[in-house]
Amino acid sequence: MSSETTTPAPAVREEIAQADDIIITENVDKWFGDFQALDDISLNVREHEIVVVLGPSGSGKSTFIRCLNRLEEHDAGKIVIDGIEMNDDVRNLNAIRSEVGMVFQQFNLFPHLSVMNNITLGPRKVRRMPKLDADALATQLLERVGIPEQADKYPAQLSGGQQQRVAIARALAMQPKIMLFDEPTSALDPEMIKEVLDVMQELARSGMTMIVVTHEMGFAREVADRLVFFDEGNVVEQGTPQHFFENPQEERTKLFLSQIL
Amino acid sequence: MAVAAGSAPPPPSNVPLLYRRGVRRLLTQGIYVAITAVVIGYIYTSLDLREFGFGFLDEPAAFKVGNQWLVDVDGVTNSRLTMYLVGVWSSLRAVMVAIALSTVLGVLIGVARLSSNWLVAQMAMLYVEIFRNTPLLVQVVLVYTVLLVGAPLIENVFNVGDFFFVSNRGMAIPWPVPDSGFWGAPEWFVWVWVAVLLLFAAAAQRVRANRQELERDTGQPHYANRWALALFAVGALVSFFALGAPVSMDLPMIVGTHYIEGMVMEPEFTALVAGLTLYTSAFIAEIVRGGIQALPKGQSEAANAVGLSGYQRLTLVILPQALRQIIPSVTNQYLNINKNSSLAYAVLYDDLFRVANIVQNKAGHALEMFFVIIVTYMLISFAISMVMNFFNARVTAQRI
Repeated sequence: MSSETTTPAPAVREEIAQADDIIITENVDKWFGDFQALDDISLNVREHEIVVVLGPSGSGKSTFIRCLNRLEEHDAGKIVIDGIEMNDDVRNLNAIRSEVGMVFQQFNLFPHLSVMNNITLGPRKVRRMPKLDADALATQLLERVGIPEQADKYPAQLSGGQQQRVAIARALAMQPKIMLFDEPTSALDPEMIKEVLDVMQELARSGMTMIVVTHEMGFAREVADRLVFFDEGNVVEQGTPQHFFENPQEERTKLFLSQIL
Repeated sequence: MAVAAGSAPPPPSNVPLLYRRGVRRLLTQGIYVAITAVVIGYIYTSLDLREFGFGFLDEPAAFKVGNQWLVDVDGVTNSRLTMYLVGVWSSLRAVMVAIALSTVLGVLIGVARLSSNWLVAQMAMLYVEIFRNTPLLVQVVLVYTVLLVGAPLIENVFNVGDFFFVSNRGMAIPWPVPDSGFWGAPEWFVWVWVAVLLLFAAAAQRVRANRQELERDTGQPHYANRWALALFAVGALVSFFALGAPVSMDLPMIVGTHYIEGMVMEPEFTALVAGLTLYTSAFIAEIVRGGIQALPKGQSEAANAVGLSGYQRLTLVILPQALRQIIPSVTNQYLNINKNSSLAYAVLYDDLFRVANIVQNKAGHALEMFFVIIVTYMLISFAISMVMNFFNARVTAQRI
């Protein structure tokens, strides 16, 4: 890991400068058999911060955010989310999962449930929220993501962009403090990418802490407080969008940016 | 064919006859009709020679049929048809019990195979590999042998408190019978009690639905099942004593080398049902496992990310989707249970096939008997298919 060459992240926004770290990771390792997916990662995220994670495929960026809600189990190191340590204590795991929402590349909506029930399933079954309250919350969230008229449809009846917006609403319904986005626009047709990015941008403005794995450089430039570049399981470089796009330090970063921009 | 051929323009007149589509169609259909006519004619003349008819089924049976349950037919004055129906009832009983048991066992083992617990998963795999890869006939006969040779003789019967016996003549348990109760009420009082029970069951179902709705609307637990069960239990007890205890338990007893009274589960029945259950549950387990594994991994991940527990994930997200894959294949297994139940023959369980064979030995008329046998199995299969199609339609009502 090249922490000595990494530029410290200057907090661009006032509210972040004063905020505490809500995600703390120390020396996290993750192996898939013989392959090391994460190599000694130490990366903290402050409350309300928007972090965009970049990197070639296989660089460990998805694995990193999947470790943050235990879709993958880390093999070594320490992960603390909002003061709760990720360990084998089942209560901790449940507490963390209710604080962290996740949006997947393939949406992963429940196809046998209506849009409404997709959103209310978690609040009703996990939080034991009354049905009327859950329905009201879902309606409100669907308005927020701009598709209130789709409430009674089923996922298969929606376009990709609409499905992804429902998935965002589903994650928000658990009222998380942190949202993880794992390449949320990679499976979408080009003309649907914007509608999803708009929702994410609105979410960022509302003060949500977000970690976004994406190849959308426009979004990264405009919305991110900090960019983090992963390669071969390491954080190669991190910094503000300005630093990243105008003055990258590492050769590997320059090469990646030259190919993607 | 004339209609279909009419849509295309006729070929020019220089095309040879054999190359015209219309002529070819007529030719093939003509050949088919000719063959069918010959076969039907042959069958008709053969049947005529054999005096085809079902009258023999009305004659007195004059043979005994074992393994009777809830019926008591001695076979002296009863017709052959009655005895055959007793056999059908025996088959149905074994099939229904085997379907229920193999479903429960199959789902449990199928889910266990996917367990993250190494030992549980390996045990489930071992079960599947053993029972899927050995012949059903061997399993049925093996269980029967174990029950006959392994269980104690009735002289040394395994006795639990004089109400539960195990020996190589089967298991005997207490069984309810109508009783006049403390007022000396007529025996039909038991049906009054049954009617009251049904009323309470309906009421309990109602309470359960209400409480489930409350739970959904408020999010707070309302213990729907517990309330419904409690209501039913209290209602059953109170009405039982109010009607003067119209039912008493008939305890099994041993007289000489026989069980009398009570309810006896004979080794033939146990062996057949156990064999069918072990064998079929292994296949159902594989179907359940396949149905679950066919779902995208993202479904479990999304359920986890939303915060559902393992049980909620299985019952709310995974199984409702997996059932679409599972039900058609499981229907096939149920049909196999029906057909495989004819292996009762090997353990002398008097199912429909065995009784039919006895009839045929006594009366001849093999052709008619096989006709009856085949039609009976087909009717049972159709009934199973119809029920399963109903479930399948419910599960697949939503296009996904």
